[in-house]
Amino acid sequence: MVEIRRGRSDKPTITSALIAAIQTESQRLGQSVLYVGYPVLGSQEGPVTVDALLVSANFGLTAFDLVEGVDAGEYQDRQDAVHGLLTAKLIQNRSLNRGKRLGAEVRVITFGRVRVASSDDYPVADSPRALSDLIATWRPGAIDNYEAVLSTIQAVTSIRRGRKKRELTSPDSRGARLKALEEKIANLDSQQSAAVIETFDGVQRIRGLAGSGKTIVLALKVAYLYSQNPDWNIAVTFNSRSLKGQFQRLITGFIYEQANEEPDWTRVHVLHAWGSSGEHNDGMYYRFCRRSGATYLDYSSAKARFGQNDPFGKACEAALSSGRLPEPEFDAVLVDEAQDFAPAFLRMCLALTRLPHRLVYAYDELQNLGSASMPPPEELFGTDERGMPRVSFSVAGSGWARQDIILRKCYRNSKPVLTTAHALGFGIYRKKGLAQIFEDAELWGDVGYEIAAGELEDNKRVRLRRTEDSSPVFLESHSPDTDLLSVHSFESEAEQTAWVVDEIRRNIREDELRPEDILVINSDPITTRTKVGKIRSELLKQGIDSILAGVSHSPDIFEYEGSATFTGIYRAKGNEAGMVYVLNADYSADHYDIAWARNILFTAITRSKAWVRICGVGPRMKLLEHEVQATRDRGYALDFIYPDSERRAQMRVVNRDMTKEQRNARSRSKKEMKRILKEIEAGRLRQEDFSEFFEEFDRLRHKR
Amino acid sequence: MHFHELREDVLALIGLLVESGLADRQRYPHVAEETRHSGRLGFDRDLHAVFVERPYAELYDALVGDELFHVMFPDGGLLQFGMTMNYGRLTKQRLAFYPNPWLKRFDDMALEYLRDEVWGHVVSEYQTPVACRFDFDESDSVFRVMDHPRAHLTLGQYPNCRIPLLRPISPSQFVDFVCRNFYSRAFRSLKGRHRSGLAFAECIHPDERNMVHLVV
Repeated sequence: MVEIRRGRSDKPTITSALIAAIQTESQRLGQSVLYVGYPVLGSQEGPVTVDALLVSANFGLTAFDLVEGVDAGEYQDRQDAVHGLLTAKLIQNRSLNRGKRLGAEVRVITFGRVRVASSDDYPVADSPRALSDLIATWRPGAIDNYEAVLSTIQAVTSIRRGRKKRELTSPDSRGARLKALEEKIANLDSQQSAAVIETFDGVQRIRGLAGSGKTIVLALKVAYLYSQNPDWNIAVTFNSRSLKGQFQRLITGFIYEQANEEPDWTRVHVLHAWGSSGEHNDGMYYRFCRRSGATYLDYSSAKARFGQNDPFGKACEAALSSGRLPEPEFDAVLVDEAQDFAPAFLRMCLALTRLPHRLVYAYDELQNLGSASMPPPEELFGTDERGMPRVSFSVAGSGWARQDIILRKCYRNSKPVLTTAHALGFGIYRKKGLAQIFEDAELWGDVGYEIAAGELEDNKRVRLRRTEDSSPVFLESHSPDTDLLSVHSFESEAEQTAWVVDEIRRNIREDELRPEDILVINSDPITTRTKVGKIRSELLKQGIDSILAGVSHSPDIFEYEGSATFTGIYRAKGNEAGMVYVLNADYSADHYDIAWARNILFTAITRSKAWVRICGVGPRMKLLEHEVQATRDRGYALDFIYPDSERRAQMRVVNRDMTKEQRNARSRSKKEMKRILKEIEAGRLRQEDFSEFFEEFDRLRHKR
Repeated sequence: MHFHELREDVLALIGLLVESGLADRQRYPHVAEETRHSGRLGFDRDLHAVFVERPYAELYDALVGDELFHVMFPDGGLLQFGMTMNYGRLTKQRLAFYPNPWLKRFDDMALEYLRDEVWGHVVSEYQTPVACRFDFDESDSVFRVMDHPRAHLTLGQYPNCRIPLLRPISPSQFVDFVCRNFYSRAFRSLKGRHRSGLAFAECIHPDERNMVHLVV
């Protein structure tokens, strides 16, 4: 079985011929990957693209030197060069060596309608038949370590560069377990690989659950496009400020690995979505305004003009509809966290791209559990003057770059943690019933669930669980599941504070975790500062530093060495950590706006790379304990009766998008109603006092 | 006075700011040559290399980059504590506040800072930062009546701005001064939680009393 990964190629005819020829040999070749226009290797003269590379578990590596016309030219020199570079690259991975030699066979074949004779030293195939003949001569058993070869080819070894090494004394401490986890995630899976390499001359979409590696995939893609196309101007943009430093670091490492040089930052731009003047602050919207002459608005001005509800989206709309379009400046724009942006922003990015409008947008599927994260491209990019959609995804034939890629594997959260997070988020085992659910049942498969029992049909019982493929076992095998996620209830905030302080102290002094492995998230977005103050000052007395992520948080620093991070939920989205403490989760247990509150809990839990501690105060915590236990009891599955379309519509209305003010107003009204009902129950008020209102209420209800 | 009282006073103030949610970042003061009655509290290196002639924004970035602060406020404002004691007496002091030139002032959008508004950093009109530095040096070598008072306040990095103070300001008074004047929207949370800490002896020269001076 040969997987095809089609990157950029300037030899389309011969490339297609090669792909076809290799596919006919699929049976004989067995487990293998054919890269086209990939990899890009760093040489002394700069980046060199290998026309095609076949990596076969049985037959080793075969690089192809493709000739589009009939002139073979200096094919022997080219073969030597590619052979040398490939061998040099592979030999750096010590796990591939047999003593001083490379434990993998490397061949180079020139393929094309050329008129030169093939020799043992410089094989040439002038037809698909000739290629098959050559393949027939290959001996099996040519690679010792297939995975290691793929890892080196994909150049992902530089991901961990720059992180300080852990100092460990105990082989089984949390620190040791975290280290083992971090080292395991070394290879791109086939979906991620496709997302990196497959370049589409148009709009491409990459979606997946949080933690499926989108940021790394985008950074690799930037590096690949940069190395492949020295004349391109490339931009990557995002919402969370903390991604700036991450992207810069990753892109630098990957470009260095591929092109053997530091990135030329005049050709690749890491831009926050908004931006402002000042050299640290360049942004897409700011650039758009500068280039088109549209009026730029900063945050305060946008809020003043458009109100609190999505000021950025409205600012983008205003800029787009100002009638002035900018001179496009980018050959490719990559957008991370696209689910956080209004469609206007994506259209703005599109407007900044030159033909053929290469825009790659990546987003977290199901960031809010009540709805699919993004509208389809027809809706996002609208229609042109003829009424035809500007962007539409067609199904790609095999061997062609795909427009729509789904990353189903979640590399951050283990199955128990992710399933529990979903159970709590949707309210699957909630006593009061389901809190929210999305409309399109097909999405379950897209995000890595399979049907373990029952059917995914309205009003029918179904049991969903994560496939082993979508939730790799190594993420959970390091600790018992009751240690991966646990719920802790306290009688008072003081008790919660004391416990968390003590646990963190233990994490650092005994468990060999570093302070930067610890993330503390407060559930109620408004009260973070006041709620975490006591914990932080107690930690300080114990000599443990912490930072409170806020507006002044520097974008260049992903993690502050030596400090634990405290954050509210909105800023937590850009973060992940080995040990996550969720404070005051009782806020999410029962709330007037239950879907919104449960989304917060879901986001907080899914920040964890290993362990989660859900903490809260008061009797409402029992609700969470019950739901977590129910999930556990079912072997980490979601077992429920699927709501019918009427119930789904009802939930959608209840959980509709609202501004902060609308949400607060509704909460207040509900609170008031509850109070009145209590008074009636207690006998302090009589229901007759309100009979006229109840009648009116009934009338409104039945008016539908 | 014992040196440890000084040290504990400063640590308590930093702890208070952390607990009140006003210290996004903090660094423990470096303590050196500590004995019962003497010691130095501040940074582990000399500050002169940082404070060369340069634009303020550059200075600010350098202070943050080198972590030359003890407290960072929500809007990025920095506090520095520097105190030296000998034989039970305060001999030198440098307490400074450096606002962040890149973000809006805390009091201009306090709610957004306190609620950690994700777009809060998108700012196109920058504030005019006014740095404040309270200095004290008891030695005669630098003292010049009226031109260089023993205890003085320097505003905005002006090289010859030295407003005389009645006495060296105490750490508590300093934090109170900064919070009350520059973080007033959050000041309420601190009120009444200050320990009235140390107080120092008057050091103003009689001639300086006839100029504009500050009573602390």
